[in-house]
Amino acid sequence: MPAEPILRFDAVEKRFHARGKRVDAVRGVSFDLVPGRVLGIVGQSGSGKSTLANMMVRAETPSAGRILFSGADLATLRGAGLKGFRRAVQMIFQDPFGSLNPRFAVGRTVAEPLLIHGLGASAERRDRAAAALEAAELRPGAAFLDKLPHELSGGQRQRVAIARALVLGPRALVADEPVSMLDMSARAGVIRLLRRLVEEEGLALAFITHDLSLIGGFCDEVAVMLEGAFIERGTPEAILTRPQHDYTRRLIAAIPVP
Amino acid sequence: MPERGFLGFTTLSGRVGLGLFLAFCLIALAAPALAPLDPLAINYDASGGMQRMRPPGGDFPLGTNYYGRDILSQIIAGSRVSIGVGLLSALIIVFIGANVGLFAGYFRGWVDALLMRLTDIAFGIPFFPFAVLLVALLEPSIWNMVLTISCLLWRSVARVVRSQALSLRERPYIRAAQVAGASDLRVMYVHILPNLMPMVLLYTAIGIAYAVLSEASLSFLGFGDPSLVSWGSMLYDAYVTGSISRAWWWTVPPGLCITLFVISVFLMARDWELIANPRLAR
Ligand SMILES: Nc1ncnc2c1ncn2[C@@H]1O[C@H](COP(=O)(O)OP(=O)(O)OP(=O)(O)O)[C@@H](O)[C@H]1O
Ligand SMILES: [Mg+2]
Repeated sequence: MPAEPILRFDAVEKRFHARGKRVDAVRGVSFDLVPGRVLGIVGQSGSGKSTLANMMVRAETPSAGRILFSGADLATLRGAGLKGFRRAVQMIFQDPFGSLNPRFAVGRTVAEPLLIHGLGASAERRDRAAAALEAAELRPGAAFLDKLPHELSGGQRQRVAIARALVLGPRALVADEPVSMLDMSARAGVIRLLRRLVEEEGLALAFITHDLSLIGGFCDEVAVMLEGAFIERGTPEAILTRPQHDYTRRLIAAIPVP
Repeated sequence: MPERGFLGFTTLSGRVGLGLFLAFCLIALAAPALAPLDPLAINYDASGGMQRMRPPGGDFPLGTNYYGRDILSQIIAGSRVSIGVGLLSALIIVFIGANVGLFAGYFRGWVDALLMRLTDIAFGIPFFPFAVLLVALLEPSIWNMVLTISCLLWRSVARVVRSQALSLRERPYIRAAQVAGASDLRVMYVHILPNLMPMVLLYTAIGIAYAVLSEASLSFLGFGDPSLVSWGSMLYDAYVTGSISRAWWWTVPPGLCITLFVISVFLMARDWELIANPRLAR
């Protein structure tokens, strides 16, 4: 029997109204985020991937449809329920330069979620931040605590962002293009790290990318997104070897040949 | 990012400004000990005659005024009122302006609309007629002077901070803090405001300069507290006694002090501007 989903999207829609024009950013999307599994979401620029990711972490709310978190409607969560959600679902961002406050040392950034949730005394938070940095493969973690973001490489910053996402012991991660701004060698490392976290810690992962070459061997399921809707779903090899849509074939054709 | 330097002062002119500013502040702080005579006492000579309109020299290094009062002592005592009103008003200006701008830029929507309408109204009010009205309705005192100046001058700070907050709130690290459960207040005061500090410091400096000039202008128009001496009220006294063209030693010192103090603040502000706006540095 498959594990209970952490997040369930049920016919979710998101519309924006910008300068009199209506944009259907997400249209009728349904899926489950399940512990120990990676859902890849691919699509070209503007297909609605980030809007979807923002709804997964309740940075946006759906215009229609429902998002269930452990069975409860996310839109109506308040107080302790919302706090529980904020601990359980974390996000990793595309831009490793913008996602860290330039004035905060690494230790402060990674420990901030603990402070927000009132967990642990100051020394204990520092220890847990160091442990989270190690879990994100920055070793020794304690050596990074007092560094400022500008002293780190792009790959190291992204690992700091992952450590911040891990420090609360979440059950699901939403990663919106987490490697698209990293160089090749850093990419492979971050993807291996994410895969290990899913396998060893049983995290659920939504991995969003416009680059189909990243999904093979990494995702358990892939959804292809076009103009706000999932037009095709399947295992990575099914998508890569037997694409059903022209759009998917074009995404495959766009994969750079090394 | 440019080299930080001492307190952010990287250029010679910035350090000169800082030195001048600190010297003025020290004089203002130590004014009662420094003033050789009581600034409001009327001085008489041995035969009982009033020592009025004495040019500089002798017992009076900067001369005396029409009422027989010592100008040097007035300048020193006046620095307290002028600089005190300037610093206090600037603090209030920046406090109100930064908070209004932060709330408007962070919350957007109706909060923004409401606060920016208020700011537009503040921009629509002409400074001097409003100040004259307010001081006429209330009584002339330095507190009402501070109130008048701060009531009107927070507006430009609010606009600048709002536009910066609007852009900073879209940074991924803000979203990251929100996703981790940070409250709006935490995001505003821990993540956004500290990143605006160079800008806020710059506007504090400009606020000090404007507040000192406003205090001087209002006092020169006779809206100062009559029981206190300020640089502006010295010019007012010189003007009403018809002494402006007859006693340069009465008008030049307060005029020079106002000018030098304002220049010192602008020199500091120029350096802060390089930090707030690094593209200007070059
Ligand atoms: N806050 C908003 N207001 C108005 N329109 C928006 C807003 N956010 C997104 N959109 C629109 O929704 C659509 C989907 O945008 P989204 O950012 O989700 O795409 P994306 O797949 O993440 O693209 P990219 O690969 O470029 O990041 C776009 O047409 C975008 O212009
Ligand atoms: Mg996107």
